[in-house]
Amino acid sequence: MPMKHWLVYLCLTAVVVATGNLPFTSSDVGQLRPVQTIALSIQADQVVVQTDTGDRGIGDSWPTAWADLVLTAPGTIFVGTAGFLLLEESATGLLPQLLEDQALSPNCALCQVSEAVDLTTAGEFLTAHTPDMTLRTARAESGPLPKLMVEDGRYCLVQPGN
Amino acid sequence: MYTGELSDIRITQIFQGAGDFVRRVVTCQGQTLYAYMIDGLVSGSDASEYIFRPISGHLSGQTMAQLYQNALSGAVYNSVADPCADLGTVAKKLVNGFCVVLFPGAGAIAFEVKTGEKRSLSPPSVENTVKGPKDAFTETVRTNTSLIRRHMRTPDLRLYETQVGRRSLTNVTVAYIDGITSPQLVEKMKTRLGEIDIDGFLSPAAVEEYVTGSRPTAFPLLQYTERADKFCQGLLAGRVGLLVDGLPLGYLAPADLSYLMTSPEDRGMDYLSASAVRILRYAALLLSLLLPGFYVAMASFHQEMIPLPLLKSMIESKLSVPFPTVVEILGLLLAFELLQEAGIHLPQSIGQTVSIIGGLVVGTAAVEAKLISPAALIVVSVAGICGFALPGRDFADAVRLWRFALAVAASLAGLFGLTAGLIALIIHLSRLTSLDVGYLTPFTRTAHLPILRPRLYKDKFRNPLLHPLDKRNQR
Repeated sequence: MPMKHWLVYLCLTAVVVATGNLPFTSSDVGQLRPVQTIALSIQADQVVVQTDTGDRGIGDSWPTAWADLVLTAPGTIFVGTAGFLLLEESATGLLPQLLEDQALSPNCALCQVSEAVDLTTAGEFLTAHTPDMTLRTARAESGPLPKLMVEDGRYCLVQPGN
Repeated sequence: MYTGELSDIRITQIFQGAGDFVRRVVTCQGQTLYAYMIDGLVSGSDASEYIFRPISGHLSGQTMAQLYQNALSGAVYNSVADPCADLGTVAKKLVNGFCVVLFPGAGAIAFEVKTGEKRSLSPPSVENTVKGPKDAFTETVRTNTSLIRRHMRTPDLRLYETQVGRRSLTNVTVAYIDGITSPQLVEKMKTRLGEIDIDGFLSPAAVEEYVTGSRPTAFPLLQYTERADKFCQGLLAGRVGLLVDGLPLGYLAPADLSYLMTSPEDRGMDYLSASAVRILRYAALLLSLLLPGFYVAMASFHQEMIPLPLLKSMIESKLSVPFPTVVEILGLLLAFELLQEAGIHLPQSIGQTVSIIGGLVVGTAAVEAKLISPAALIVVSVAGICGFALPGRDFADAVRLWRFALAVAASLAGLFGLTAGLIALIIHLSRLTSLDVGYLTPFTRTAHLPILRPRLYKDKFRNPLLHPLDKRNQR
């Protein structure tokens, strides 16, 4: 292909990039706040979502609470790395909304907790003891959620059927 | 070139104003002869001993024609005596270190008395090997042809000599082996040289661009080498060689991608080690080309593909760094190129110091000042070091250029852009030809994969892509 054709294509590409019409959006890794563990609870009729990055969102529903978290976080919340979703007992009713959500990875593991836990240490524990239930399996068939219990400061995962 | 009769006046006119032009009047048997030479190109002692002494002592004849004939027949016992038919031939001989004796009315004879002042043989400066020979080409084409003859003593070695460049009259030699090299390849090379009509054929770029047809590509279409053994290996494989007076290089064509990725060191070790090194070399090629773009794509577009611990590490390394990843990578690539360029132009005594300062101090200081992240510095450094692992400097330079382009493509569209850039590169390479042999032809489905070095005793056939006349290289 002659050089002038390459120049024409380069100029066209430059124009597309300069006018912001490129169909790709980027976010620099330095601005990311990667989330590994998400906890959901309902407090005073408000859905409260917390992450292991220390961010918090409040709303009437799961989508609004998540939007609030994204808006108020000091950075770009990156949910692509989210591996664990912990539902407190008060928030188990939110499960249908969560199953409809497409932002979370289908491999995100679901777990029920009886009380508020430290999300960082809980994430480390669940990395080693991964719950069987994920969003994908929950969408395919309903069933009881695994339970993450805290006894004497130690975590214990109870899988359904055990 | 020059018109007019072969006379003292015309020869003197051609070199009028040349302070190194020497004209000597010699009397022999009552006849006046004229001797011409260019001071600095000839050996005065050789001229005295092998031209003027026999002319004054042994040359005899009743007429000028007899003197001319006797001189040509051996009375002037110089090793080379070429008759000159016209002014153009006289001028060319004079500028090539010959002493021309004019026999007015009969003709002129050029006697070779070149000076011995030339750079002596030295080891190769770039293509070093541990076990291989250490004789490298010099700027004198005759020295280079003698080196080739010493490595390859076959009488079938042919050296076609011509001159290229209207004003530079650069001596160019096409080397090939009669009975092996395809005559079509030789004719193509000769034709390409014949079509060159320029004033000076002095620089390597002139050789490479004019011989290959000045394709718009950064990738070399001729293999160059400073090693006589590698040159001879290429001739034995069926390639055509090119030697240019004034350049301490030998060129081989055709050159394809697999040939450019070979090194003389491959033949200096066993086939297993050589094959492992070749695999490493290809891996280095891919890393050098793709790593910066891949890092930009992953860090800017596809963070979900990065394992969480690595992602966290990358994020921590970018704390307080004010520049986005794209700017970091492109800036570091540019700084790397500037360092290399500075290293080339600096004298050797301070070049190493500057490289150390640039690489260690500035790089370390930039990381500690949070101007760049350590991850980006590591990526660019690894890509740079992998580039140095490539055997051909021209090829590595092309890879460096495309590395920039792929990083820019990745910064625009992530892995999609990187892949599109890679596809564009492959299309570009597939369209390149060197003496009508495709650049990527060795990697086609029909050809034997050239990455591994076969065992020598099994490597019985020459590369069929070169269409050698003798297909077997061992029985």
